[in-house]
Amino acid sequence: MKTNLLMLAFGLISIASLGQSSYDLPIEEHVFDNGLRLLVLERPDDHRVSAKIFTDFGAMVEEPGELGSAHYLEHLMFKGTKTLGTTNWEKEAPLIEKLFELDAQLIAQMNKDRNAIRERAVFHNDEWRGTTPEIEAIRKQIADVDRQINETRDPGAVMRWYQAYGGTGLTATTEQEYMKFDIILPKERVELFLRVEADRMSNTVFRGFDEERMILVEQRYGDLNRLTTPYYEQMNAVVGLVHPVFWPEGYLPDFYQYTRTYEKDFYDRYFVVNNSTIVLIGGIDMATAKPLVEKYFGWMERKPEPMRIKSVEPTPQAERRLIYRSADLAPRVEARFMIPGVGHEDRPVFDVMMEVGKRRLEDNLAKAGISGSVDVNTRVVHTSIFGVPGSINFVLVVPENQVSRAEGILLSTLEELKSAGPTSNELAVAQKRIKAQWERTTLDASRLNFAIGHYQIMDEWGTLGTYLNERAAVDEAAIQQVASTYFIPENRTIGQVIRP
Amino acid sequence: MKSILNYTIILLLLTLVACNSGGDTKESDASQDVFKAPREMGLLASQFTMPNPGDHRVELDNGLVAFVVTGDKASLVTIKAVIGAGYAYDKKGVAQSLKTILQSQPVCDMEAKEFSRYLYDNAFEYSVSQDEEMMTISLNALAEDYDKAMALFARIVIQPCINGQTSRMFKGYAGIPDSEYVKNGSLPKTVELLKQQLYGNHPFNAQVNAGEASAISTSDLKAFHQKYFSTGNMSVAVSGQISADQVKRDLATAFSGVSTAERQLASFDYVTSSKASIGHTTNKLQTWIVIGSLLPEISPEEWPALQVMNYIIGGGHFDTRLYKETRDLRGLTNDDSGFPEWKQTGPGFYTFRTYGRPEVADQLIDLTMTEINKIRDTKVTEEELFVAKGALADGVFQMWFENSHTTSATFAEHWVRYQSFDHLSKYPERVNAVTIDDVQAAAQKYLKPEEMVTLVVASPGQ
Repeated sequence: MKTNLLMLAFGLISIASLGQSSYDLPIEEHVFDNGLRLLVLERPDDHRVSAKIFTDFGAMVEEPGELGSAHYLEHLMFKGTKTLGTTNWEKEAPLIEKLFELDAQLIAQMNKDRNAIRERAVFHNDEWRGTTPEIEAIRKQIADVDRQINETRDPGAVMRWYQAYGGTGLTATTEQEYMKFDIILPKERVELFLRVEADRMSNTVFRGFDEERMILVEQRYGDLNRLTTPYYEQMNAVVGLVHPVFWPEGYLPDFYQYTRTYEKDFYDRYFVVNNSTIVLIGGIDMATAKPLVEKYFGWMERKPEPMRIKSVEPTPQAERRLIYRSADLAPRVEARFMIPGVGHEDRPVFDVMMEVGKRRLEDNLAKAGISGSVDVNTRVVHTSIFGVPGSINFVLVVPENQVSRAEGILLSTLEELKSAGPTSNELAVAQKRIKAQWERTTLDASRLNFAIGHYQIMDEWGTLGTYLNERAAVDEAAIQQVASTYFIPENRTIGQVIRP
Repeated sequence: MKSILNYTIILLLLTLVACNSGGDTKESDASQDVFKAPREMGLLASQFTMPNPGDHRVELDNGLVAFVVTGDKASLVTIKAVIGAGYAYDKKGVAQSLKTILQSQPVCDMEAKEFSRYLYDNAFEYSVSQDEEMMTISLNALAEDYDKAMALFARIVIQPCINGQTSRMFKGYAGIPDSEYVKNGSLPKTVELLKQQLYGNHPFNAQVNAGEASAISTSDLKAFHQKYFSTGNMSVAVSGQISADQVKRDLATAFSGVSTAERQLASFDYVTSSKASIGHTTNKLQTWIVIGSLLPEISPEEWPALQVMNYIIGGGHFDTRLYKETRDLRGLTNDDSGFPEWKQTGPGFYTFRTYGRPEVADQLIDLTMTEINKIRDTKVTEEELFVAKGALADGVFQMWFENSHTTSATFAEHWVRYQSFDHLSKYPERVNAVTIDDVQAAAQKYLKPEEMVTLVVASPGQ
């Protein structure tokens, strides 16, 4: 402990800004010797502080059959620690140990019974799960131990104290590339964030495991209640061949396969100081923040670097097409093209392209006398921006009998952008809208905090300034060039929603 | 030497084994002394003080009161008008018809599509909201477009496009039952169904039939606008990266034509409901449940005790009694929360909202009612009270003043409601004065199982 603190005194301190431009943000960075990164953006007039901790961990590390397990870990990390969430840790600790022993038995039994529980049906019930009497017997033992643990549980404790001390905007999010926990606190109470999050990083206890499993089932049902969910999942599956960025947040059978051991392995490997970034924005400066962070995180040791994502999406070789028949979902046609991740020089152009494309498509639909709506986005599953390849999606929702015609208009509009680029007015509108979007982000400390932390996860936080400046410099020629490079048949997936 | 090395290796291995076996913690217990109980951390009191509304108040020569709050966090400006009249006011459907015009075609020299494109091209964020008692019009723009935004906004507020064509845009609001909404199901729609049920023929029921809608004339709309978009019934908030002096000059010019009138605060009957259960069907995977009743007259002084009570039982966060019982301990639902909606001029609306897979619906209803009865029959703990007070006085209250845009809007809304800031400035003090007995008294006064209606939207089989 003492050694660590001494070493921290020699930690790297740098004051950097996001380049010399209108997008300058006075961010201060400190990287502790144990690898923890602290970013502070002081806003002296603020009476509150937006505090977030980002972990370079998300759904992209999951394996098929365990999809959604990263998101599930986030839920488990709300269940408390050994200092919060129990009225008697001494009594609970051996029971937790017992649960992991039973979990190991369960995994071994499932492996042993592999032929009895393997999936055989093609059109099976989505809630199907294979089991045997031996597996169920172990599950019953697990439930019995869980009931004993519930006698000393203090649910809600982790979040209770944030609220008691004026915390608002309490959320946690897990996407394909990151997990974050966040809160907005009065500036005098930032220490509470560090105490709670350091505890969460080092002392999480998996309580209420099987009850929480059902919350994911509920959330999945909520997703499936939206008519678009199964369609989007099919589209993502056609756009990407191998990269997990295109995988959904878990199918129903996956939720029943999560084990404590699998989740604990994630927790141990990824929730380490050298894989984490704390971002503070508001009424706090680096001089105040640094010793507080040292107090709560300084004693933690650097751990092995977590496993990188190895997947590389192969170069698209052929046009792909999805026909989705639905009696309820509004008919539409969609064109998706794979695009590069943040950090690639072409990526900022697509933000401008979205605005230009939407406006041009609206005009061309109107000229053709087709009523409908246009949406252009870069969403893959739930996220719109990645440090890996994603897709740009042009969606026209049109009357049932206009789907084929609308596809022609969509493709010819993209050809127009390739051959002539946008007009100067289209480009000016796009740039104005992008500028306004960014200003709305900076107004809200929490949104700005997210942008900074997210760029750190995708590449490194300094990329944000480069990205914003490059985006502001996009001209007609850049749009034309990027359209010509990416809007080619081999990189195209067409989706049509039609009536059965 | 060799034996010492062996001993060291064995000790190291034992330590590694100890660190990796069982339990859930990563480090040795020696480091755990930093994790004090939060109440023992010595966290400082928040020094936040509410901005002084008088520092931002501008009164025009015609009596219109505006609030100008500058801030340079972003190169944006927001102009907002708060009008003290909603859809419960005056002839049925007039306010909603005016809202439709304001949303779609508020200026006569632009058709609806042109207006939409104008907003898009200027990156303006424009919205019109309305409830029973209030209406808000808001325009957010880049600061560089302040002049253009102010000119458009003043035209919308002072001379909305009320004519024979626009007055026919509103076709009525039939409500939810038997519509596509119910077929598709959702919690907000279920809440709306219950609201219609509870309010019945009361003016707070938003439903307007086609006949009522077609009976709305241009003169009705103009009269409503003349009466309520007036000096005594409206306030304007301007905020963002602007010059306060410039804004004051512009307001004096742009809003000099606002009609002059005294505050027209309506008063509506207080009604109650009777215990009932109602079902609707949906074809979705989950069942939605809303349990609620109407509220009696509540003064601003009484409101904090109800908020504290609701915060404890179901205030929409991770540590409520309902959340713990239904979600955390049993895995039945993603959420089960309470929503008291206070109204200044008539009966408010208090609902408990939850949803889950069909097989747990009965359990969710039982657990919700159990917690409602429990907070009526027994006292909350000192810790629960401490948490709720902190959340409201140091959390919710401070967020109303998070930036110049929220601050100016807060001031304008309070001015229209009360023509003073007494209730606003005393809110933290009143929250902190709530006692354990006050919480129980609020539960007994505002949670009346004998008046609660349970509305379930479920699959036909259920």
